[in-house]
Amino acid sequence: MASDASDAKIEQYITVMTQMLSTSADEVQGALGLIAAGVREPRTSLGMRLLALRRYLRMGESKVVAQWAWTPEKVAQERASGDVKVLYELAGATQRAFVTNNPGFNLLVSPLRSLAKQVGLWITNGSVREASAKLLEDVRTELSKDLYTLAPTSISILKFRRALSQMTVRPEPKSAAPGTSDHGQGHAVDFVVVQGRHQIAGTETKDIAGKWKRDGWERKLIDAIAACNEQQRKGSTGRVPILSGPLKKPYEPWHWVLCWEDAAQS
Amino acid sequence: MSRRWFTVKTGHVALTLSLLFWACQGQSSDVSSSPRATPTAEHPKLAAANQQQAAASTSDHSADAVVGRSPGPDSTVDALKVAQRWLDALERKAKPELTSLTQTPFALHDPPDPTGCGNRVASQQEDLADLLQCLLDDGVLIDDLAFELNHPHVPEGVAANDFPRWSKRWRKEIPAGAKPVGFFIYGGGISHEIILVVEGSRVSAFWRGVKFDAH
Repeated sequence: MASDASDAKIEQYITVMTQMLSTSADEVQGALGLIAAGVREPRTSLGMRLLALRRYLRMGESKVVAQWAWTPEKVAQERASGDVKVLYELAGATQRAFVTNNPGFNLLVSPLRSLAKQVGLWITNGSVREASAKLLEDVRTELSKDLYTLAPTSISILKFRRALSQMTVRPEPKSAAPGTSDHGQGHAVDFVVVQGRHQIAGTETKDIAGKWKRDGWERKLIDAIAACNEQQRKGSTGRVPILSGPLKKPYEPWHWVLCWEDAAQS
Repeated sequence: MSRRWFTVKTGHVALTLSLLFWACQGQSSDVSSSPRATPTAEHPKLAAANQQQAAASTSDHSADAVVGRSPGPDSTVDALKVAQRWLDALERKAKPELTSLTQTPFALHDPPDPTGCGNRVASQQEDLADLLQCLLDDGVLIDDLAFELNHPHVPEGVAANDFPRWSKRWRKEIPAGAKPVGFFIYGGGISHEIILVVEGSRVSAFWRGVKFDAH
């Protein structure tokens, strides 16, 4: 069957291309393996792996490795005594300050995103599914060209690598490629404002002008964090952990990172 | 005391405070019979939860209007408690407890595979195990429920005019006397809106809408 042969060819190119990666091969192969294990339908799996691979190629190997999600062992270690523990303590203090200042409202915090969770988000996301179906068709067309031999060569791999990284995707996936989320290493948290079961200010760009700025939730969050940071600094002489933010580029009023400040300079 | 134990218990304390609110309003409640009715020191998060639940108890009267039944405060408060226990059992993956808190027929309205378990009904007890297992196998949902910083998950009655858009098509399935109770669960990258339909002391439906964000 022609289409099956084409799928087999795509699989072959994915396999060889990931083997040829220099520094990020283990990470990429691991993530693609988890996607394959998590998606039952072969073509959906193929498209989702291609979409992730395209993203890794566009990021570049060094950035992929630097940003890669921690292993479960590292997460457990960091949650017990590392920066994640400190980050969550600050986030918890911020929640309490926020609730005190804004009765009836609550502040929820984003959990750390393990690789398994990032894969889970990737394979369950409708925009990823849609974008990957389209990308699969584009890749099928690309690989049907004569220059792509059934058994990949170093030249055909290089050509495919360039072609894949330059392909456009629609819609833009609403999820980070597995392993590459900003929240995979526990350096940052997102805050969202809720009232009961209603989200009042969330992590969507369209919320920034109205909900975060005009309705004042940006200022209220900044105030709560400033109070907590001030509490941290009080009486400290060494390095003080604080929340720094919000993220400037792209502007995200909900996104804050853990920073260590020299108390003597603050 | 482990952090997990504390946070799970915290959820019950929040509910207990809510029951006290009802008692103070001159409503009958079963607060005195609650084995966990031991309010602790004031905690801003609990106070917020308390206020939200108080509001929920009020708005839930509207939910009764949906199902055409005269509301009673006892059933409203009990429904919140049942819903919270059910979600807590799901979070702890306590299948026997979850099963005992679930009524058949049990309706599941979840996003389709691969996001969720789809639309399914367990008519008999035998069908229920598979259906509940599907929810228990949802690693993303279970992880998000278990994240301690966002505890307690505060239940809130769903008023007739306040059903989320994604859920409106199922509203007519709510039987007379049943109470829809909602939760918002934030997972970072995904958020879950959950509605549990409570009939008496059991849950007869689980509805979920999910929203992804790009981060």
